[in-house]
Amino acid sequence: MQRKLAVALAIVGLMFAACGGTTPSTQASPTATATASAKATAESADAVMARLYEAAKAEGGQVAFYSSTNTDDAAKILPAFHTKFPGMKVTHTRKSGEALVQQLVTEKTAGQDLYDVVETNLFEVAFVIEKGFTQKYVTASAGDFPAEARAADGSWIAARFNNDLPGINTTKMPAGVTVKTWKDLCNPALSGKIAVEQGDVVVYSALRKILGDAEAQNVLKCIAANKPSLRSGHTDMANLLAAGEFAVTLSSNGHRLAQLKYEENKPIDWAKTDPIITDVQAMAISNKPKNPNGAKLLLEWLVSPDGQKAIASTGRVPASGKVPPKYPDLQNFAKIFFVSDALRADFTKDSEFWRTTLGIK
Amino acid sequence: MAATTVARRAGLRFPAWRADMLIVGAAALILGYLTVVPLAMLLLGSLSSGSSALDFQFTLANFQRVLTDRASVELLANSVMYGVGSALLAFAIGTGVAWAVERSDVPGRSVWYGIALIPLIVPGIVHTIAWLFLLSPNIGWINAPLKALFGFSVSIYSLPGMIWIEGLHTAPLAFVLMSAAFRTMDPSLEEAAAASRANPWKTFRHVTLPLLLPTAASVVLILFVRAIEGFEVPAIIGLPGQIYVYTSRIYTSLNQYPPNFGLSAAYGTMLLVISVLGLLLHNRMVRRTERFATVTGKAYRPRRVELGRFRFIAIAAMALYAVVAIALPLLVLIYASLVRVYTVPSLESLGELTLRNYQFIATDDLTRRALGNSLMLGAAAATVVVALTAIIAWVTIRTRAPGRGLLDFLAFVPITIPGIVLGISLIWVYFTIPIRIYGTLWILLVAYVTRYLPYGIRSSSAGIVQIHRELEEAAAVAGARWWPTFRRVLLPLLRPALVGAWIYIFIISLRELGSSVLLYSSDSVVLAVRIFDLRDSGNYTTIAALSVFLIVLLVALVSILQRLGGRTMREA
Repeated sequence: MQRKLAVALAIVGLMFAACGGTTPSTQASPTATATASAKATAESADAVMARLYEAAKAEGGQVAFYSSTNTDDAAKILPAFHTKFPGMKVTHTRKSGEALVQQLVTEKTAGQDLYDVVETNLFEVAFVIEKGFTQKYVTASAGDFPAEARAADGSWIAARFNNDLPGINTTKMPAGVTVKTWKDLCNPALSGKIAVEQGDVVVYSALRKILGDAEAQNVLKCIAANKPSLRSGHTDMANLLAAGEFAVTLSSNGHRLAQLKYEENKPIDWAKTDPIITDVQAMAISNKPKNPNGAKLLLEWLVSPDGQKAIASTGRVPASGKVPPKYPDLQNFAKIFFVSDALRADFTKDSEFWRTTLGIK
Repeated sequence: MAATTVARRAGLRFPAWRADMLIVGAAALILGYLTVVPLAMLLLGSLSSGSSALDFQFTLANFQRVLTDRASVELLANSVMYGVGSALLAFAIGTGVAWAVERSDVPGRSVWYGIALIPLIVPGIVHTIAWLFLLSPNIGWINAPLKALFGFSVSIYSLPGMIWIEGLHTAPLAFVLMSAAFRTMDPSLEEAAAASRANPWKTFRHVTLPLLLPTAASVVLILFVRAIEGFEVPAIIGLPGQIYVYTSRIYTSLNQYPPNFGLSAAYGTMLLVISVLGLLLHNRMVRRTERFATVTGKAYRPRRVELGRFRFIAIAAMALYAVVAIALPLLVLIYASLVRVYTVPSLESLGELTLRNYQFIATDDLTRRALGNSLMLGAAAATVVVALTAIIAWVTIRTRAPGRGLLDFLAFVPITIPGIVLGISLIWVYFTIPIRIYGTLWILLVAYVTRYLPYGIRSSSAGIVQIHRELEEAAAVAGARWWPTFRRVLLPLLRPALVGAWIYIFIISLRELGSSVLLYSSDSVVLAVRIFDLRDSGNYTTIAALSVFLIVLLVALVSILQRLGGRTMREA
């Protein structure tokens, strides 16, 4: 028995000896490295991309793109990049914002530098920036973008916006019920017919700013009283709305509603809220990219007129002021309310209210 | 003394103590790395507020939250109810079918046997997705007509819904285990009951059932442990339904904003404790079962119960099982794979069928990469496990080397580690050890090898026990050393057992999701994870296409490998 114990202890000891005496896993510096290109402001976007393309090819012609853009839309956007830069290959890792951040943080903490460019909700990208896992880079086309779509210091820039609009299945709405504002979702006739995306805390944070604290809380409480179906994933929720699983959603991605309405001929519409809550989809480059030139090239192209047109072709709303969206009726009916990094300050408090009110465990 | 025997037998030139100690030492190091290190890191991670074991900062906050959180009682209750419910349902279905096939005169027994085993091939994630299409509250194939005709529907997003899906999926395992029990039961007591003019039902209730009770209890426990370890149903059905069990809680604590690695390790430790307790209880029960052994060395041919007019009811029940467990899920997946956006089938939707989803999976880079990675990982994991466990089994059975019992124990320990717990444990290992394999195929290989060691060790041990040691002794007498003896005498004789283990591990590797979902990157994506990720994007019709493809691939692989395996076994 003692002998067995001694063998076991020796093995465990050896294991720890193997682990000990080594350096801790690489923890990225908390301070982001500023590598903003001075040339970027002087050169045209095309000249910058031509230069980066040559350098990117020399480093292997690869880019690891971590993005929440769904696979269908990425399958339309990325081929345009490949056509323009045939020597490049983009590997797209698609996940929701939270899952993308988890993967990225795990990789970085385990000392792996696998991603080159991250693109998802501003809240999540701001967290990654805060952790020191990104670097600053000012793109040549940055001037085409509204102030709400970029950080002045180059920490991030948005290539696209998500209009967060209540989605409607016109065939499933109870007779006589219309939804024009968020408050209309309180109609008891919609009980059991509403869906809410569980992670949409940002919509509540925006509503607090738009309606005021008390009113926003009342709206959320009465929506909760209508026993919403709590879903995970906006595309999934919009597809189920089109399939008739529910009649209305608190907030769907406008472009998906437009795709379902105009491209799939589904009985879909959206509430013309005023203002239009618009979630900024931020992009940033890794602090230690495996493909630094490839990363910059992809970022430059996504915010260039060509990249923005490719994004617009999917029905998504390009962030550049110079490229119009494919479906203007997603945002031509009211003013825009941009989700900003400042809203993140109350995230914990908003998240707690959101979860307890809706019964999210 | 023991070492000398080994060396003499092995015919090694160098001093005796070095031969077996070297193998035991190397095997112990490998097994320790695969099993002890991850579990130690899991525990350290759950007790630390630091980001690695080297940055250890003691805290009980994670366990405090896990144990005192207002949702913790509900979490435990959900997990237990889900595990028990699924186990009982699977047991009821599996035992019913097994009894009909093994002990009744129901016609077409071999056909029913095949049908009962088919669902074993279907991966859990595919089975779950199929039931999502069948029982979605308003648009499911079963619910839509229910709602239209009777004004009500059955919600799949509920604990009973989760139990139904898991129970149906694990029923074939209960069928396999209970078939074996029925087949090898001593029929003399039943015959005595029949001779005493007891009707079949009375015989079953008063004789068969009590005889089977100890075996049944151990089968239910195995099914319970399998259910609480499962990730597919809790993630795909439980999360939208707000019904959390431990596996889904581990996943959400990592996928929340910001991710909480310490908390997920604490949930992982809790699940591990429940799993270990379940298996300890099972082992105890198996030992007790042996006291009531109704299976001896005799060649029994139990008497089949004549069902008489109940035959038709039995056939109808088996046909219903085939429809519910195989036909309906397969049909709904095929239909969903042929539409652009899922809707309840209608003349309109049937007129718009398309192969677009299949085109997508054929051309999608990540899906092709996932297929290649899965096949490669399956083959590599099966090969490593079989090679490693063959040597370990030889050491534990054929030698008296010190520490051999520990080797057997270490190789069997992973049976208690749920896939998702191994995933979070390995994250903590590579947060600490500066071996940069997180996000690569290597970490997945480490996970798969660890998970499937128990299957390899049981198969190899069973194979070696059946080979008499005089063959090796003859080789040693003829002057062969250890390695040539192992390679030329033992391995060929072991081949059927090893090939069987290889095929089984290869197939289950292709379905693995629990640990892969926490360890992969886009470079190392595998098929089950690809399906899981497409679900995250809401691409259910593409998932349906990929699921149909995966079922076809697995059926083809199982058929080919069984043929090859069968030939190998015949040749051997």
